[in-house]
Amino acid sequence: MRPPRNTYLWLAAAWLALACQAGTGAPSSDAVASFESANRLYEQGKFDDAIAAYEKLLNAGVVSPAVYFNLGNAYFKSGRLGRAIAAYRAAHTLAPRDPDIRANLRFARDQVSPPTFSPGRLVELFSTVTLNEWTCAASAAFWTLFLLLAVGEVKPEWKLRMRPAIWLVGGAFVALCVCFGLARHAEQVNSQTVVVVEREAAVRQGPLDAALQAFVVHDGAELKVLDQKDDWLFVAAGQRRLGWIKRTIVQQPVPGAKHQ
Amino acid sequence: MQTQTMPNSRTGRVHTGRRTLTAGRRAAMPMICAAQLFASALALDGQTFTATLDRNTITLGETATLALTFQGGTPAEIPAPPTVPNLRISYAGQSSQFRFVNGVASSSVSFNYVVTPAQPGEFEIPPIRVTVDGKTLTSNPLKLYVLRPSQPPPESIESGEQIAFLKIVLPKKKVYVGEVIVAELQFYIRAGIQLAAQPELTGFPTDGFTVGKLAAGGQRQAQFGTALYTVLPYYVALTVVKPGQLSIGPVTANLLINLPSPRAQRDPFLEFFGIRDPFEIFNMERKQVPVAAETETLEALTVPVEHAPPGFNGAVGNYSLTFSVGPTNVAAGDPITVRVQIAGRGALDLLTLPEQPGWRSFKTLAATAKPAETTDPLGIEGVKTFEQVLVPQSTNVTELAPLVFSFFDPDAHVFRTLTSPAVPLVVKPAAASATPMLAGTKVEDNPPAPDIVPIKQRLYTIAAVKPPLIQQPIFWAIQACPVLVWLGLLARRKRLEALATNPRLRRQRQVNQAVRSGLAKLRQLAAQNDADQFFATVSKLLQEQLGERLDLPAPAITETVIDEHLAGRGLPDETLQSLRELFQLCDQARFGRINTAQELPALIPKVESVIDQLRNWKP
Repeated sequence: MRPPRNTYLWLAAAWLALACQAGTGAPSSDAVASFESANRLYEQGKFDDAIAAYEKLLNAGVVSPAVYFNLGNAYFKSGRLGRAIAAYRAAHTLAPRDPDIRANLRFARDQVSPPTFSPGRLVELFSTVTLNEWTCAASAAFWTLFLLLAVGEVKPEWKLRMRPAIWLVGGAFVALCVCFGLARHAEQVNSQTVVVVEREAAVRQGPLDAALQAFVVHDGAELKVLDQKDDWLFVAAGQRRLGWIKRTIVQQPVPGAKHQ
Repeated sequence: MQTQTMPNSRTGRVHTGRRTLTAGRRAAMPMICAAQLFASALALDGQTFTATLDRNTITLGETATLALTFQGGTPAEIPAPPTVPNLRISYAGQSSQFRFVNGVASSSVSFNYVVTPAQPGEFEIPPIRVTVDGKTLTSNPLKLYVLRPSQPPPESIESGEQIAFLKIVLPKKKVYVGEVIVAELQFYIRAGIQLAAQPELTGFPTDGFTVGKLAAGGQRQAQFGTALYTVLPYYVALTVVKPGQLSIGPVTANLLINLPSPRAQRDPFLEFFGIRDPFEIFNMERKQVPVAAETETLEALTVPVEHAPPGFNGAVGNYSLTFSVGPTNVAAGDPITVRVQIAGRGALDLLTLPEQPGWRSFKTLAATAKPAETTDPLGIEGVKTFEQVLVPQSTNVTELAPLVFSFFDPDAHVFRTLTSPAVPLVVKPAAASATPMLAGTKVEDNPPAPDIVPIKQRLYTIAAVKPPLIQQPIFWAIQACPVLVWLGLLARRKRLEALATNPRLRRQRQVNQAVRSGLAKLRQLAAQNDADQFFATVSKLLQEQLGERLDLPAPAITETVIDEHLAGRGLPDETLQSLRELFQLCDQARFGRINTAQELPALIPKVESVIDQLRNWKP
């Protein structure tokens, strides 16, 4: 019994559909018009109005790296460094290899007064490829591996010739799975990092307003969240800079989150 | 007075303590005798002390042996060799000699010294004073003539007579002060001759250079006339330190080679069969071969500083610049570290960071330089890292001026200037600052932007905000597809393999297929009232089914088989009876027309029933 020839085509189509399902879509004409309108406000120097317009777009579900990037620029120009960094980071999560986003994020981070949390080079390296991209790459290797095995079942005489390819693809699959694991770790580190959005805030030694001040963080400082209790987050700004900060003082840069 | 004898003169060898020189130097015996005539001998109460040279004329690069021989007594300690300018005399060991002449026994002790000249010329070894048993003995002065070495004539090279020779090859004849050049010393050794040790440089005189590291290159072959030579290249880095006519050489070296011994006896048996003598190693003699390369001259030019760009501080070579600054957001009075890496080829150790006029608005601390990290064996390529700490004094400082580094490129004969981009700085009032965090930025790769990148004018695409693929069930469902396909194909292959190894099962499947199609055919034949074909098909179906059950060939199945193989084996009597009737009907049909159109369709259920019972019967 031979599998129908169309089976492979259907399987390939299913895989492509999956990849597309994880991807992106074309914006509607209304979204484009609103975006351009917000851009005009920005160009006119009406940064607060531009911010409102970009956030309205995001709340309407128009989640795009360009919207977050422009929102970050508007925040930056209006002097709100922390919110700008949060917006750039959201844009970076969606388009991790966009050079403009990377440049502005780096530029904004350079303006931040210490202390601030630095995630490390490994996290930065594996943040350049999204989790879904690693997943698709590993999935492609997985499919290729099993299709090669299937071809070997149909054509046993090809098995010997295909053995190096099977090992190669199998090795690639394992390597991609390792990369996926590291990317997952990087994503977790990023998701645990919040940005201070007030000009200056005290990090306290306990989750109480009356607790002693441990150190002071400035607008745009990034803090790693280690724990939380009620309205307080236990954060780290470095190896020895630990303390509690109010949840309302920081923002977690999550693409798609509602803006107020 | 006693004439001097060479130590171990019977064998003609000189024991140097470190190695045994061949002394195939029998040819030098007349010279030795002459040296003996010049040698002094002093006898005091039967004690004698003589100083001799094994030869009084050598070529630069060769060594002579000075022997201080004592008879009738020995000094309490090793005699100190005399000091002669440009002549290195080093102790090499001692030897003893016992003689028995006309019933009189005598012994002597010789202290041997290796004499190595540093330049050609005439040298005098002054009288040596030695105290033996409280008495002072003095030797006469000795003369040593050192000849200038010369390269062998081309004829001897091309004919292969020359065992080895040396050449020095320079990359160019005009160099600049401060430039680093690589000279190549080429040792040519006649093909087939083995080198017993690495070449030993005995003289490498240079005028106007500092000599750097020596590194061996890859061995190659060269042919001169009919002779083939193995070339052992050695490279040496030379840094030009003064202008004018400079010279290198004569370079002298000693090669220690293995030569077949003239006394070696060959095994004719092994030679007849073309087998190499396994004991050949014991029939080899080591020979020291001095080689020399003639003096090479170069013209060293001064760098044309009158055309030099401002800030040029004498760097000569070919370099690139990497520059990083951190932090760029500081409080007034806080330090900013500038890290400069100059990479390239040249005298890296001599490089210094030039003064930067553009940094005068900063308080500068002394720059620190790390030792150059070289990447080649000669140590002339690599990177040198400088760190300069700058302190902005006021909040008016908005940028760090570009760093400028100029050097002279000796290959292109031009000055080149490397400039880093200006780095914007944010300097806050001192009171508002916290401890700065160093965050270096590599300037060459990512020059710091003066401002943020402008907004994007196009929306491009909308990102789907969904959980990651790995958390979606459809993803896992789709991933199951290739696994299922593979498992299906694997099962199919296993089934085919099972059929291939089980002919009974294969026949069973074939018979089932034949019965299915046969029964369909029966209905068609009954409808067509084709009795002949109908009964022939019935007979064939029964034969196939019975043959498969009994594992007998189908043509061998007849009515007699029913009684022989089926009776008493669990098949119902009604079935046996039906079988008999069917076979008899088939036989009758074969010999006469007995059926009508109404009878044929009526037989089909009976045939089906019998075949079903046979199929379910387990013999």
